[in-house]
Amino acid sequence: MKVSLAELQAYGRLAVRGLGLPSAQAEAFCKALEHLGAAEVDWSEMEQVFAPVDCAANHDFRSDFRVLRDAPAALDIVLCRNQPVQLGDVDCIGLLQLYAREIEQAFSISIEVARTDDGVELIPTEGRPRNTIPPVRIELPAMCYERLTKLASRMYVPETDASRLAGAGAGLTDND
Amino acid sequence: MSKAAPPQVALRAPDDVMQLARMGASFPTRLSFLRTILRWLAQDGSKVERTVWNINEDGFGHAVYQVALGGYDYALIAVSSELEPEQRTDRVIAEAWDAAFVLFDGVPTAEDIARVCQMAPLQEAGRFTEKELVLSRANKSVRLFAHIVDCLRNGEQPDRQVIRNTGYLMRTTAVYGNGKFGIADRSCIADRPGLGGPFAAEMLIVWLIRGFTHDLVEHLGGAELDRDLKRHLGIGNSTGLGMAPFLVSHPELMNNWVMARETALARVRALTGISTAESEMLKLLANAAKTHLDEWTVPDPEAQSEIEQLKQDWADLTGQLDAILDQSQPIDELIRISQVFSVACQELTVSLVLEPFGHLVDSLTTSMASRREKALDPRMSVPDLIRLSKELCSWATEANFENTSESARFWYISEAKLEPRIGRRYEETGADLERPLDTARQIKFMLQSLRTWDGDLAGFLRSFPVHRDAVLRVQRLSEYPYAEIRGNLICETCRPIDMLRFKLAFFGASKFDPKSDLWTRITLAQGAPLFDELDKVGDWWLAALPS
Repeated sequence: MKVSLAELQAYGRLAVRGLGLPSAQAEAFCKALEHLGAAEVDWSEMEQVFAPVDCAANHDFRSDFRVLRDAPAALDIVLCRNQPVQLGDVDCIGLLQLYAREIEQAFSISIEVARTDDGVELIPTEGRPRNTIPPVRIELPAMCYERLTKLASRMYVPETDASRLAGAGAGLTDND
Repeated sequence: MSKAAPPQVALRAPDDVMQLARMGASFPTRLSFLRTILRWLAQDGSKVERTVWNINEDGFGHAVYQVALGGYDYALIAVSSELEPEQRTDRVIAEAWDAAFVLFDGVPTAEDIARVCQMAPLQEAGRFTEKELVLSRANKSVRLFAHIVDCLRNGEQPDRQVIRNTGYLMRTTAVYGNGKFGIADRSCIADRPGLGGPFAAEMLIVWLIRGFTHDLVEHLGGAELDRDLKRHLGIGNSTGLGMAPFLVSHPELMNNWVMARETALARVRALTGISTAESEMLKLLANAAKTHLDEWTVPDPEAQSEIEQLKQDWADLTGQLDAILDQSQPIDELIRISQVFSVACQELTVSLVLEPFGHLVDSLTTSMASRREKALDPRMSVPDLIRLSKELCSWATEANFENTSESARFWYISEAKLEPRIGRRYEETGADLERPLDTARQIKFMLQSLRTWDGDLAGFLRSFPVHRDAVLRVQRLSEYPYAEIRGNLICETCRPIDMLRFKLAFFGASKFDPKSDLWTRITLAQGAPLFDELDKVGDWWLAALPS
């Protein structure tokens, strides 16, 4: 399915929150998506990250989507200490590259993302931040779309008669 | 060599400007987005051409209008359909409309037009491409539309008072841009001349839709409307809660809008002496505003009472204009004297004083968009963050969230067509799924957690990822002082309508007609140039229809 970046961000924002993560992590994910046009995307990573999970029953974050929670904090440490940071038990190198690009652009630094034996390493390097061109259209695999929208739907509040009548403005008919 | 910026006085304080009550008293200015796009069209010598008129005798079918701006072609594709009265609602949950519209990128082929005619009436249920820049829909103002058609068919012009009472033939109930439902992302047009400003494409389609409604009513009436009546028919809009979260989720953009307006105000306040022509212009405009206020009547008693107060204040203030404009720093004096009147009068004065000074302020519109947003800086020291929070966020830190009235509301997305809604936290279910509009509460809680933290900020954010957003909001305020609404958006007394009016005024809306605290109708482009009047683009601010 072809989607706009804004659509993907809208689904992504809600899907991250649907996984039980705070809104800032959702925003960080959306900012990372802005760099999709500049990187090869491994959509299977995204499918893995957004695999269905019962968050209410399981607050011990699975490694697959720990990246959504931990990437911003890991990059904070890279920025503060100017030293490599290891993210153990994480496999999503492509997704982390998108997060790294966002920090590169914001702080005019360069960060290499490398796979290690037991995870991924974020390494500050000499060099200039890479340019990013926003994607015009994104070919989103059906499975990814399905997973994102399913998780996003966790954030929708079921309708009641009261909310239909009083939760928003305007009449149910407006023929004046 | 760059040109030096004009002199200016100090900007108004964010703690004052960004109060909800003041935001909810906003008026359109010459920096409003609709005014800006029309100036672009005029400067570019743009012409609107109706290239397709496939509308039947009942007014149903489609039409295409073509306009060029900044070297690019754009088209309005309008689709008019039959609508049963029971389906006509301004709510997001509507599923059919009198008319649907697309702003198309380029000159559409017959296949493009056929595809848009099929998809546009479906709105949210349709699927669009990057060739579509804006998607919109509108419903007729049934009584006025019928009145005008009847009059024209009888060889008469419509009653001027009836036109004044409503002011538009159709009202849009959504104007979707930036990638919604597959249309083009804003980044596709952000660098184009004229469309780079905030909501420029949306305001372009709104102005084109207004022209279509004129053509449609004349087509059905079989005669032309008088030009001054037609000019007074703007385009209505019905706006609900969807606009409010936008302001919270686009803080830098909001800052840039307000910063431009406040800088413009600071520049004109710094003027020492104004020309006779400028002085006369201010008096003329003040009088035009008076006529506009006389014409502005709304059914809601509380809102009407505020308008009556404003009319009285305006008369009292503008009665002193001759004396004030003779002062050595006349605009500053006018603003200073306006402070004794209602907030609405103060904000109307701000809007008035910008009007004659386009040469000083219009260039500020180029700074109203937002590109790269500020990122959280984890290198800030914790004491600095605490100090900034205390200095800049008293509106958050002083709220007492142990009092349930301070957290009585929650904002959410309903599963019913994803309509944005607001609920009562302690009476309804769904608060666990609330949208993060609780900025004041987030900042207060972040400060509480910081009180017992003795590490660095990066460590704090790692331990408390939930506070990340609040940290960024505080940091941002040090560079973008107008980036936050200085109020608690989840408290019992919060009026979402104030946020709606603020945003709509920046669009260029007037004749605010609040229907409750949750939604309002407004009029856009009333008095604006018609398609063949772009050479008169400077002559409208707050429109009135003479008797």
